[in-house]
Amino acid sequence: MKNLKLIIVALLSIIMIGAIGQESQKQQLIVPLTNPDKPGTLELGGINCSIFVSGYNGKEVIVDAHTNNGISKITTTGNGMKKITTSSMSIEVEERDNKVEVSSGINNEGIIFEIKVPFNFSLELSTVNNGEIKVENVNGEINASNINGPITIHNVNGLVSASTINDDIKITFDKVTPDSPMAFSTLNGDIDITFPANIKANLKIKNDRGDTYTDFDVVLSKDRKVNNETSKKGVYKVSVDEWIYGKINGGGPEYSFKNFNGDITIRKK
Amino acid sequence: MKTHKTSVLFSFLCMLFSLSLIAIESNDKINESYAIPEIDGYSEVYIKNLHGSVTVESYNGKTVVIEATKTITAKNENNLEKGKSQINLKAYEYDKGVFIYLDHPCADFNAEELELCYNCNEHRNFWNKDYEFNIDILVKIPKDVDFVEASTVNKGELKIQNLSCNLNVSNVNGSLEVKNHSGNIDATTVNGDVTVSFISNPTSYANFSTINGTIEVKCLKQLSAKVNYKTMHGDFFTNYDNIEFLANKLIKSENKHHQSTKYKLGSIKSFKIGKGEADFSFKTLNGDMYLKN
Repeated sequence: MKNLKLIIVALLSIIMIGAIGQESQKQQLIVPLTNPDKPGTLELGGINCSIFVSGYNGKEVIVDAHTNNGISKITTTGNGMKKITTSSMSIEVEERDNKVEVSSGINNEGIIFEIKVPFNFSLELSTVNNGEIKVENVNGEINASNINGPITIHNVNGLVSASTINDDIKITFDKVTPDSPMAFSTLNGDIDITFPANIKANLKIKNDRGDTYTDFDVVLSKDRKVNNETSKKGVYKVSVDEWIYGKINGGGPEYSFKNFNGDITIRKK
Repeated sequence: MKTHKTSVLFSFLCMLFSLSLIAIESNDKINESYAIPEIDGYSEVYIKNLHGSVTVESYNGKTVVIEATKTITAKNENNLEKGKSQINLKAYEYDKGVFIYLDHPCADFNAEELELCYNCNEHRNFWNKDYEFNIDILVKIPKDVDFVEASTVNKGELKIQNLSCNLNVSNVNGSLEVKNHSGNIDATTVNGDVTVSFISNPTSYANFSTINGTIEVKCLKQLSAKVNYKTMHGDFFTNYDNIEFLANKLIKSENKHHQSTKYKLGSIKSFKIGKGEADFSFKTLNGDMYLKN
């Protein structure tokens, strides 16, 4: 019993030390817009970063950034000297005619961006390593690309084009912009998209090794497209298009889904 | 027998060749002293070297004393003499102090602006491969001089000892050492370490920078400084206890042409020791930084 108590105390103290060590200060930038009443665009591309964007009821863009290690800390070294660590993070934000461009300097640690934008905002987001892209409550056009992390978008009103290589895409729409095409693609992840029940769309699906599920009533077109090609050397080539075509609610703009090693799920809200 | 002959011939040729490579060298001692004018209680001393070391010390005297060794190396007597006549220490005395510099065919000295530059592009007739030179300069400076600037570029260290004045020291390919200093300081080198120790803390500024080297600064325990530092591959170490991190400065700039506004949070880091009165700045690319007491 005594031993157990000791262990608990030890564990608690380790957790507390960990919590102190992970304390991180935020760097905040508030960017006013040229035309606060009009929709704007946010552009953010990084290599090692996580991006969280959410819409809020305000007129400025608020950029919070911090690194995993925190921004500044003091660690003791053996010879009585203390090592001062501050991140090499530097952020630059440029605003021009409601277009907000965020860029970060050379940074090895990875930056976590938490950005608040007015509801009516379009986003162009990309990252490569160590991070996810997450978007909430935005009305606009979203263009997101991630290589080794997931893309999650909730309660969006507008249109989305999303692509990843090694992780999942999960999107829930409140509304979709009518008559506009969308595209979702990944290689080694799952695609899970929830649309409003009343959408009209032409589906275009390619799924090499996974399954495709939906609770919409999809009318699949039975014909397969056959491509006939004659190359310059006179070689004649016939190939069957591997895409599957279908219609929801009579058809509309083209929604394309592409996956290689995962499932595609198209849900009705 | 034949091989014996050829080997003798070969060694003879070798000897001839090596004889032609032997350089001749001359060493000259230079001893000068300059009076320091003291108008309104202010005086300054500049020492500018190009190849060789500079050592500056404080002493109980009234004049600036120079003890220098000039070394010229050449392959023949002609070039040696040429070097001896072209390379000299010169001094310009003016109403506030004295400006001592290495005179060289490429040296352009502007006495009004107190500016010196070695511009060999504009002196094409100077062929710097005739001889090599090196001057090691020792300067003794009276205690009451208010400002000292000392610099060298190649082949030497810069050493400053026991001065109490504002100091501007720079080196390029060599280290920089300031001992027992009292007063504000600017210390810059490119390829070398910067080592500075204070006997009284700087009151308004202290700037240290190098590209490839370590910066080591020793101050007194009661330090009141705001420290800015910038590094790419180094770390900052200190043994001061009362450290307080300061918020990063936000720089806002407007571009009228593009009608855009830029907001920037730079990567210069800053913290405060004590009350944060003096401005300390450390910059290095490849090297650590130490601030000790």
